[in-house]
Amino acid sequence: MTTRRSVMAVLALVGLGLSACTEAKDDGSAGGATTAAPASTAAPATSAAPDTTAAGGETTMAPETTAGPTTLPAPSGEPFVVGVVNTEGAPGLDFPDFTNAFKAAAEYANTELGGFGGRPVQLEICISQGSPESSQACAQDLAAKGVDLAMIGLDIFVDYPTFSAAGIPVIGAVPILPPDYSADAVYITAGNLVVQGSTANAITNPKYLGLKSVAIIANDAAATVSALASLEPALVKGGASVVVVKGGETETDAGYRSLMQQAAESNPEAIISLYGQAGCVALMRARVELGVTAPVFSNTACLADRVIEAVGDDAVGWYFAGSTGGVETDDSKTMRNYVAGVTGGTPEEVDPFGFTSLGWLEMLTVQRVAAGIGPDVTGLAIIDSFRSGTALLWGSDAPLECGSVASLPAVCSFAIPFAEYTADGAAPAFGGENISALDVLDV
Amino acid sequence: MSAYLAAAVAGIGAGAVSALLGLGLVLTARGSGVINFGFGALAGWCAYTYYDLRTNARYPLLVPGPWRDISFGEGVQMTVASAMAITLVTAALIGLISYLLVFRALRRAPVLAKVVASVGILLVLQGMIGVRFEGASVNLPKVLPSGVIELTDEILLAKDAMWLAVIAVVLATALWALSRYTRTGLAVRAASESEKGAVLLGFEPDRLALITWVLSALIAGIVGIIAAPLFELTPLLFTQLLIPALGAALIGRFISFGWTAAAGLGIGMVQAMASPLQQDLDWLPRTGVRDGFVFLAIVIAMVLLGKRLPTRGSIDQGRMPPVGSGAVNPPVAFGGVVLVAAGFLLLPDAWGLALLTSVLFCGLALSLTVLTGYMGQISLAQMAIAGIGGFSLSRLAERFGVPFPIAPLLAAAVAAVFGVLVGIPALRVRGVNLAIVTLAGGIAIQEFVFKNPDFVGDVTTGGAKVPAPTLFGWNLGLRSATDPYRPVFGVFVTVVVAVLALLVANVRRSSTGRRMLAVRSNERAAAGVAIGTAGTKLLAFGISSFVAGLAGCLIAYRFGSISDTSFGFFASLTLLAFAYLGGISSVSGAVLAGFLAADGIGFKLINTGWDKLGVDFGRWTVLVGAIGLVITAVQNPDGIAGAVRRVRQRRTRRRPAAAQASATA
Repeated sequence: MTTRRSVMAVLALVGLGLSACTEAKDDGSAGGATTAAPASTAAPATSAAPDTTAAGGETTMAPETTAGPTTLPAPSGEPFVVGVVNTEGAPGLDFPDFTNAFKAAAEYANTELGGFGGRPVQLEICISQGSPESSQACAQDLAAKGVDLAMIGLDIFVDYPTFSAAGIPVIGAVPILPPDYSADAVYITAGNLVVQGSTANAITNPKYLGLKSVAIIANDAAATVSALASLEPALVKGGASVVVVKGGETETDAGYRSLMQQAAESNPEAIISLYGQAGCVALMRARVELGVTAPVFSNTACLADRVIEAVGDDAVGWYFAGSTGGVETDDSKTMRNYVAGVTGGTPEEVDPFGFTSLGWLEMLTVQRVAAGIGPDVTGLAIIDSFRSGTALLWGSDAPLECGSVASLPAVCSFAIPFAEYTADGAAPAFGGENISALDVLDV
Repeated sequence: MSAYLAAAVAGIGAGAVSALLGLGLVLTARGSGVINFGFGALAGWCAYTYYDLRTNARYPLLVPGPWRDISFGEGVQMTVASAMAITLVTAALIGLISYLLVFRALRRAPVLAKVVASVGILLVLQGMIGVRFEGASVNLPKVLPSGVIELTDEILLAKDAMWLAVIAVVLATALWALSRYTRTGLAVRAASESEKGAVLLGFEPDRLALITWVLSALIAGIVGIIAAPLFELTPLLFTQLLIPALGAALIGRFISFGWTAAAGLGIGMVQAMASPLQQDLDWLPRTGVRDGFVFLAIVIAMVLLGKRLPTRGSIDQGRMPPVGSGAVNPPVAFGGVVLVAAGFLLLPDAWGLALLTSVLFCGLALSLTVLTGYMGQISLAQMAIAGIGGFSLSRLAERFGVPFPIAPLLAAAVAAVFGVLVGIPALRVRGVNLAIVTLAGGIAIQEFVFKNPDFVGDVTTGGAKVPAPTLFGWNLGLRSATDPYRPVFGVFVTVVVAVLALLVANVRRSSTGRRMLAVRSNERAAAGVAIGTAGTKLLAFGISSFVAGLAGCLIAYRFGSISDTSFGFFASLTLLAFAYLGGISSVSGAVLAGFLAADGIGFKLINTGWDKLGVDFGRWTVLVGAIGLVITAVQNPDGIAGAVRRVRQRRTRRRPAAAQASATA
């Protein structure tokens, strides 16, 4: 407990701690996957809401439908105070991209989008350090400051009871641990559960691939065990036979090759990798070296520039849950500009995917909802809007479905897009359709 | 069978890394008697240094401060040889400085002080990696030949893994030859077996230790450079890899280079075979097989080998910290409890939470007061035991509806049973060997219990929830539906921890406590006066685990749900370090440990102080705390409570002298 910060913050956190931490990061990536990139937006100078989107666990490439006015009056009146909790500074748990994206999106909202319902948005940022104690302290701190709304970047120990008791609504990006799914909160993009369910559906449903034998390559971390608990039944429900090949949390290239080899031994029609970025390069290379032809499903962490640069065409035949293909859009250019303004770097240095885009998407989705409410916006009104099913993801026309599944009241997204890597690069898979997890999940 | 062979061959690379790290650990242990928990972090720092040199032509500075690195200029491409040379010199310097500034001063300190100092070094290095590289995950360019050798159609041997294994074997052979056929090597062996004998023969154990520290640091540097490209380099990579390396070194009994290398390779290969084994044997657990069985096997092997595990024959083994009398000063104790309770009622919420963290940590530290302070047993599984308490509480209260306070008491009893099981090896091994065995036991618990969704819950169960404690309808929890912070929970926790403190103090004063101290001082002598050493040890493990289990329950009540991340191996290491820092052999030491705990009231004071000065201390906090830990371990090997006690004793002695002097005058 208290030791956790030293350790996690320091290091520690390894062993077990590490596993969960590492997975948390991976999960985040998966979620991040769902964010892909909200698409085009008017140029920074002209404002306006984004148009097309390929974002989130929800939408795809909707045509320009959500463009806002070209000029919005500057926000005025009492600031709308958003409390932000994000984890930074602990090895293995260091996500400054989220904080930067929140700051950039708030700046964008105040500069070009008329703030939150016409009121300027003000951030109160609290950095947790990967321990339950620091998360709880952040919740208490924000409660004491009387923020209107709490937004979670990446915090694996969100203190929901404190926020709830203080009457502060909570909005997060990606549910990570089991309590997140049933928390008194709203998570706007899909978490592990939905990513796994959608993947199972994409593989087994005759409408998509209709494959009936699957091998899963997974590490033996606690969070992955939890992911398997939802993935295996979903595959079975889809009519597939399943073989699980388990590796360690850290593997050598040879270790990953062995896992791919073991997975291929049962001649599966499809393979799912639950490894994050660390395993992507080695598994992609191993698949080619071993002559495996079955398609491999993974999350967007494996579509990162660094991975693709390392493997090149070895990525052909891989599917990436939650991504639409990574095409640069106007909105992602806007994001780069604003984030660069926060970090002091250049727009080219800003990663358009992953946590940066996730934070950007989260803040601007809330801004969009707030804009619909107007100057009377409150945290409760925003959360009610999400739960009423009328909220739209930033850059999308598809309504979020928060609370539509009783057993997962915090989850808003139950369908995600997929990207496929082809000889021409990453492209939308399955015709760009978002694939639902609900067909195969027992929820 | 070929599937098993293929998997085993694939595990050679990871096994070779364990072997190399294990060799470094053994070298340090033989030279200075220190189990260097910071060894993996040193390899990690070297890997990042090499990466920065090669990729950015920058040399990262290990010295804390705003200066970040030394740049060799834009567009400069550093050669492999130059980068390697600079990295290895860095490694050697770190080894040299670590020994000269820290472990040399601790030569005659208790084993515990050395463990704590090495944890401090680990935290410092990891903290610096965090500060300098900010959690970056990077891929290092390959140093060893890449590609595969097809032994058969199915069995593929990676060339880099093979080279790494060859290097491990060659290094083990070289170290063995050095220790057997060179004068210095023989002297190191002699000093590890009998430091007094080595001194009488004219050797300088101090110089020998220095040599081994520098050599082992060079090994860490080499491992960092050549092994990191086999993985994706993350800040915690090598610290994670140190765990199986510790297992290998343990099998090598911290003296045998050959057995350590073989064990390292074996562990890697056996772990790799876990996957096909799980597919073939349905009855195997779904989780934890890969690491859990290895560490369980190590525990069993150590219990069987126990009597043959050597301990270092140093001139002065370093006495355990002196134990307080256990006397309770009622007005002071009562006043302290009232003061803390008043703190919960009067302090702002954020400060109340920091105080709560301190009181809970004090409860955890009390468990070590019994086990390590009174009984002299070093356990690195204490947080795992606390976790057993917390998870048992969740299961009892949520699934079976057992009410408060029966549920936490039962949960603590379950923790006590696990504690006794973990303590069984203590009947045959002791000292730092016991620390490593309990570490293995703790990891086995993590793997088999904390990863098991049946025990800890999953998405469908909302994880391991814990209902608020209620007594006769009165909510004692931290929150209510409308109140995010209720001081009553802090008062409740204070009372429980105070009762535990009283229990621990009473144990010290009782015949049980005297038996524990007798066994701690000299097992043979204790057995000679008819004290059952085995029973006494197990009783200490039981009491200590009950206290830890109850503290785990309080942690679970605080957060309302728990996860495995709070109870990992490093949490146990840090608990031991801070408990020792406060003073591990007294209740007052546990109180001090609570004050110093991360996120506790002491940290809050420091952070607030920096905030007032307009300084964002942020990620430096833990680094500075770690440096403080090392300094304190060197300056006050008995912990802060020991230092305070010495000062008080000195004053007490002075008073009569001063009185006598004035009377004479």
